[in-house]
Order: sequence, then C-alpha cells, then structure tokens
Amino acid sequence: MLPMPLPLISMKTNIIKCLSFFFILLFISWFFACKHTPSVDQPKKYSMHLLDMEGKEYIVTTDDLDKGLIKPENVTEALPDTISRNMIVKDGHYYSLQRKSDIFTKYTLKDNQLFAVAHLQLQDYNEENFLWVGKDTLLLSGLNNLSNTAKYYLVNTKEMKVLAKGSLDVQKPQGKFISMSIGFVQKRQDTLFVGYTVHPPIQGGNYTSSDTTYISQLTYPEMKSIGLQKDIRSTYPAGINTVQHNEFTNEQGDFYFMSCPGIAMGNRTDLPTAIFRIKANSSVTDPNYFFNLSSSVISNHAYGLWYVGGGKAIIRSERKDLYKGLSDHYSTPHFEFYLLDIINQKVIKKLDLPLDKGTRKECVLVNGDSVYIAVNSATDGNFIWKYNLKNGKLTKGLQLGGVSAFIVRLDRLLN
Amino acid sequence: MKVNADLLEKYHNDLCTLQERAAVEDWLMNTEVDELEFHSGKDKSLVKNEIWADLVAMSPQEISKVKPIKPASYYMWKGAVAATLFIAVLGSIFYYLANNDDKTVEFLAFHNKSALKVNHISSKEYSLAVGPETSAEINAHSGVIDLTGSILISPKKDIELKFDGADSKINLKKGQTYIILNSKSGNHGLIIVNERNLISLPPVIQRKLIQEFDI
Repeated sequence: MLPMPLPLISMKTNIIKCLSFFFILLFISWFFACKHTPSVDQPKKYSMHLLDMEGKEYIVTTDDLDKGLIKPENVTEALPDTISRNMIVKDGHYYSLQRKSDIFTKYTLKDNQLFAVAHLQLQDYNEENFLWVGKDTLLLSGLNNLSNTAKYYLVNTKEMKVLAKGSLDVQKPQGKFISMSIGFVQKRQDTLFVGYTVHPPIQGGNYTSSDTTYISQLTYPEMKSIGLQKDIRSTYPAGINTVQHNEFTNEQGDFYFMSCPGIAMGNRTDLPTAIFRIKANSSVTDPNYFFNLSSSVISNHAYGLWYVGGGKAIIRSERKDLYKGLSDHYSTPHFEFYLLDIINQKVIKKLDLPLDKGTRKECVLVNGDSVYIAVNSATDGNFIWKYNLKNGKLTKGLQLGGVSAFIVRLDRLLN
Repeated sequence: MKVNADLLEKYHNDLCTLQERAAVEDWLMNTEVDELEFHSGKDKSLVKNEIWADLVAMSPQEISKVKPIKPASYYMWKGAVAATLFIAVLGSIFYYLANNDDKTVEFLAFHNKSALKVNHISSKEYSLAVGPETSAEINAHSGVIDLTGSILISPKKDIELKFDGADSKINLKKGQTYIILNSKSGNHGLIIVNERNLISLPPVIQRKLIQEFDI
C-alpha cells in the first residue's frame, strides 16, 4: 500500500528529524574517530627504564644508542605504580610481577605506553630470579611471603600459562637463620643449580647474612635435591637478576657468578666481593678459581657483572670513600666500571667514565664489538656510553634528558 | 561579638584583642552566620558604588561609552557582582592567612612497643604507620625528631622534618609515601626513601618492610 501524501507541517517535522538524525550521526562518528584506538608499535631494538627525581618511572625505546637525545616526558607517560623496574624484557615484550597482588603480567608497547596483553595469577610469591629455559619458556624463581621457602613457576610466555609450579628442594633456613635469598638459578641439561644464602632476623636495625654460599643441585624438571655444596669463601651469590645481573655463562659453557657481600646486598663487608666459577664439566665451584675483587686494585665491593665476550667482563664497583652509608648509597655518584680478564683473574683497567649513581642497575649491554654503558653523572649528565672492545675507545652516545635522573635498565628489546 | 567592617579592618591590621580575633576567625570559619554588618545602609551602598566605580575605571573605555538601557535586573546583578567581589577578596585573604604558615608541622611523639603490630596515626598534615618496636621523641627546643625503628609517612601537604642523624631538613612531598628507618645500634643509620624506590634498599630490609607494613 502506498503511503498517503504528507501534509506540509509533517514534512517540515520530517526534515528536522532527518537533520537531527544526521547531526547525531555526525557527532557519533566524530566521537568514535576521536576515540583513538592505538595499534601495537613496531618494537625498537633497545629499551631503557628511567627514574625521575620524584621516583616516577618511564620506559623509552630506540633503535640507535649512538646518538641523539630522548626526553621521557615528551614521548611517554609515567608508568603506573603497579609496574616496577624489576622486569624481564624479551622479544618485544615486558614481563613484570605486581608485588602486592602477585599478578604476573605480559606487556607490549602501544603508542609508546606499556599495554597489558595477558595476566597470570601467582600465589604467595616474591620474585628473585628468572631464567629463559626455552624460547618461550621462562623459569621464575623466588620466595614465599615469609622468605623462608624457595618457590618456582615454569611459564609458557607465548600462551601465558603455568606449565609447572612448586617449591625448590633446597635447604631451609635453620637455627638462628629465618629467611633466605636466592642468588642464581642455572640450568644444565637435566640439572638445576640454585645458589642462595640465609639471613638472621633484623634486630635493632642490623641486617646481615650467613657467611656461606649454598649451591643446591636439583633434578630438572622435578626440582628434587641431588646435592648441596657450601662454599665459605664469600656469601650472597649473584643478587637479584631482575634488577641486575651478576652471573653469566661463557662460550665454553663455564658458569661464573659474583658474590655480593657489600652493604647494598648481603652486608657481610668482612667477606670479599669475588667471582666464582662452576666449570662446564663440573657440578661444584672450582676450588682453584676465586677472583677476589676486594683485594685487587679495585679494593671495594661491587654489584653488577656482565660478560662482554672473549674472556672479558665488566663489573660495577662502589667507592666506599665517597658515600656515607646506606642513606646516600643510591643518590651519591660513586660507582666505577672495570674491565676484567675473567680467565686469568686480572683487572685489565678502569673505564674512563664519570662516576655513576644508583645502587643497583641493569646498565651494560653488549652488541658485537660495542659495549653500551648507561651512566648517570652528576656533572656530565645521563648518557649511554659506547666502549669499543677492539680499540678500547670510549665515546658518548645517546643522551637521556628532561626529567631523567637514573637509567635503571638498558635492555635489548628485539634481537 | 558581632563582626562588622571595623572589626575586620582591625583584624587585617593585626590590631585585634585575642577575643576579637577569635570572633573574626569564628565568623570566617562558620558558614551559617548573619550577613556582615555594615555601619549603615548608606555605607553599604557607598562601598558598592566605590567598587563599581573601580570596576568601571578598570574596564575598557568602549564599554563605558555604550550606554544600554538598564533593565531592573541590572541593579540586582550589580549588587551580586559587588557581593561576589567582596566575598572573593575576603576568601583570598583567608586563604592567604590559612596557607601562609610554612612547611613545619607538629610531629607527635610515639612509642610502638609491639614486636609485630603496626600502629596508625592520622593528623591534619600526614598519616603515619609506625612499625613494630619503633619510637620517636621530639626535642622541644630544636624540634629534631629522634627516631628508632621504622615509619611509613604520607604527607597531606608538603612538609619539612628534621631528624636526628640528618644534616639538613628533609622535604617530604604531598601525596607521596616515604619510608624512614633509623637505628642507633644497627648498621644502617638514618634512611629516607620514597616507597616507590623501595627496590633500591637491600633485599633483606625490603622484605621486612613489605611484611611489616603490608606494602
């Protein structure tokens, strides 16, 4: 049936209706156009984690560490409180455990901001160390909330699924010792080496560690104990590698780790900061190898050990004559970098860099013959320096300006 | 005491007696008070006219050249503008007076004898979590805080505190949370760190703080 011809008045109303409909449509489309949907960024090669003077954190990325200037406030927003610098960075993704909620999150970058792509709820877990046991297989090791039980989570990071979890069969703190610290977890075929130490309770402000480095051998993946070694040459093996590395495996498959008895970690300053070795064909620390840094020309404690290839490594050592105590340990520039001959246990030289600040930082990255070192100097500013392993030359590269106060991480985001 | 323009003037010239001062401050703080009493209705219109004259003098000339027909509501608005201005001026004076105090705050002495529990204290200027076996004494002369143990402090405005063991005053910013530790017998001395930077502390101390304060 055909509609009846409409009277004039009704036509007018219809035009108004049409117009308003049109305008509403226009408004809606404009609204959606403005609601920017960000796309995943093409990941860049390198990632830096920065801290400003107010404790706010930023992540910035670049393809070029050799030159340029980045001001974090111009390219990104400060990270939310839930994301901290103890991160794992790999293949364009960031992995971070939320301390309060025990949620382990995988992030990607969208419009230069971290964007959560998947979550995993962990339980009663505090992260200490990580180890990639496969391309997408991550072994997380840590402690329960009481810090007296070693735990692990084996995670498939592609699907963000827990493959296995439980406790690591290592010796619990006994007697006067009530808590522990896991320093390193290293895998060789079907054996896992777990390095750790134990601590007495903090009384009247005294914190300290046992004088012993414990190394448990576990079967992998069952995590059952098959041996325990006690090495009393120094204590607090290798620190927390989500914050700073103190261990590496060289081309021959020999595993090296550094003890951290300085005030920033174990606080057994009577014992030396030293490098230990577990040879590829051995399951215990090499009794003939003990690279004592505290008794070398460095004669200080150190935190941070990075292998640069060809039997050489860089350490970041403190200067006890420049800081007063724990209160100014992170704010006073007092850190120096030394190049070491690992095989022959010799200090090659001190790198001619300005004094660096920040107690523990993941600040050394190797790319072929170039070693990039992030330095926060009170006088020279915040720069990525480049050390050429071939000719020993040091050059200033990328500058971190604006609000940047500390470069606490320098990671390879993409291989 | 009835607050009037004279009294207000005295107040701002700092000539009030204690009683008068209290009355003015009461009047300023109280929202349910009578309208401010002028000396007379004539005064009131005089003040209004003065303010209006000032306004006209300040506004661009073109506006005063245009002489629109003034509707009845014009007079109502005129009064409202004058009243608004008057309130704004009073408000800014009060705001100025209220905010003119420096960053020093009254810090309370406390002693938490429990070996496990955390005590919570909330004041106008900060909220405080006092760790187990923590005490603070304040030197009445110097205002220096003698702290033993651990506290977590979140200032509600920018504040300054002086601790025994520190060379200078410590600036604590509004909205941030700080961890302050001190021990006389222990091996770390006074440590002041933003909660966000907890990770820079030795892991053993970090874990203790996380457990104690549930942070």
